[in-house]
Amino acid sequence: MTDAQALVFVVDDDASTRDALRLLMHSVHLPVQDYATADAFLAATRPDIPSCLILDVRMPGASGLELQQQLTAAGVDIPVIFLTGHADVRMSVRAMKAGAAEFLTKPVGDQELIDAVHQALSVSRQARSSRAAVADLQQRFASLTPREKEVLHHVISGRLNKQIAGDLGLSLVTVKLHRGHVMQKMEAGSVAELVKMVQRLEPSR
Amino acid sequence: MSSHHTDPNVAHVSAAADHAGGDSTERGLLERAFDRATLLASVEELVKLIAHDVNQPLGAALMTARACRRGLATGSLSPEQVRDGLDRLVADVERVSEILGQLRAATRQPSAVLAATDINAVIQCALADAAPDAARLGVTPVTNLASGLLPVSADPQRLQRVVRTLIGQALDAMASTAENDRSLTLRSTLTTPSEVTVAVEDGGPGVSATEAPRVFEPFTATRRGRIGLELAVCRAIVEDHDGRIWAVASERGAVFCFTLPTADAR
Repeated sequence: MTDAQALVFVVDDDASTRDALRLLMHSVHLPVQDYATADAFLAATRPDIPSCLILDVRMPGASGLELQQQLTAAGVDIPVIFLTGHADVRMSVRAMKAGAAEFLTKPVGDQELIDAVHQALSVSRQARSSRAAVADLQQRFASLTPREKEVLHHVISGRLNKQIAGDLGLSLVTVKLHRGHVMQKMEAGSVAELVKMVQRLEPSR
Repeated sequence: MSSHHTDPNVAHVSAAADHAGGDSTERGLLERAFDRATLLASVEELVKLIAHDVNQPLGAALMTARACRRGLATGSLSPEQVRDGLDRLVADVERVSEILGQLRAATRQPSAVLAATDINAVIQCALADAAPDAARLGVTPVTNLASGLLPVSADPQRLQRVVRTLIGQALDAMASTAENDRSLTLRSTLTTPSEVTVAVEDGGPGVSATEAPRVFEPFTATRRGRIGLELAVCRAIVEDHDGRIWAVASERGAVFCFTLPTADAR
């Protein structure tokens, strides 16, 4: 009954809090991996599935905010839910600016936390599928020959086949052939679709 | 400004010096505000400390209890998981109790040194200590102490703190009273063969019937309590000595009384 397609990480130096969080997540069928320190979490091998991180802000050693920075620096894209014992406005602003999913004050309501976790997991799922789609597009793009890439750029700038032939010093037939390959390899049904695909690729290039 | 406020004795000396200068009342108010701020700051620190230590296990216990409730309602937790959760919950609540116990032990006043104490001597000591404050307000304390009182079994230091606090708050209450109406009377009487009563009466605005029972509650900001903690401490000390403390309005102002059992009665 447990949701095998999701995982909740917990980093908190207090064993009671870790146990309580684990039990609460189990009560809504979510599996948990917990760590007493930020370093232990960073050192652990983490399965590549939708996940989120529940993090205590003030911990001995690397603090929650430091761990958040380290994760960002390492390119680990995981929604972080901060728990804090004190309503510290400055700290919560810093955490939210650095991309925290939520900032909750202890004692946190169970429903509030569960909602935050579900929300964070759904963000994680979306980010994963979006990353996967972009990776797929990148693969398709990489399969184009240099000439096909050239033709593609002319096509998406709105040039007609005749113009492209003139620009590149190719025959109209050859341009049509290259263009056909581009549409096929990119799995694009129309020029409009092709433009969208390239737009999606651009930010990641 | 700050250095000479740290030692209360020095503060009294400077207050007495100010008295000669003329702006004594204003200066006294400043000092009081300062005392209040310092006391509030240390109370805040203490409360923060307690909250920090207690919130962790309390929060964990609360979350565990809610998880168990949810698990039982939806059947998502096995009986073993619920049982483990309850074990954890018990341990967490015990931890809270232990922390509070340690705190209580750490903040307990040096264990009461009970001795056969002459209550009139205690009153005289407290009055001597308060003399500069009284002088500043132009108040000459009147004493009406019963002779031949039986000694009470008490910690004289702590009792003196009670009397000194009652005098202090009586003087505070008269800060805005016309100088001619200001008065301070201390009485001791043997009210029953086994009980001594001490009364501190002032000529201030008095206490209302609704205010009177509340003045000894901690953190009650009434006209009388400076921060609402001193009178709570008084009550704790008096009750530690098996006595009672109360406040009532009198013809002149307010009278604060407390009783103590005599040494024989205890």
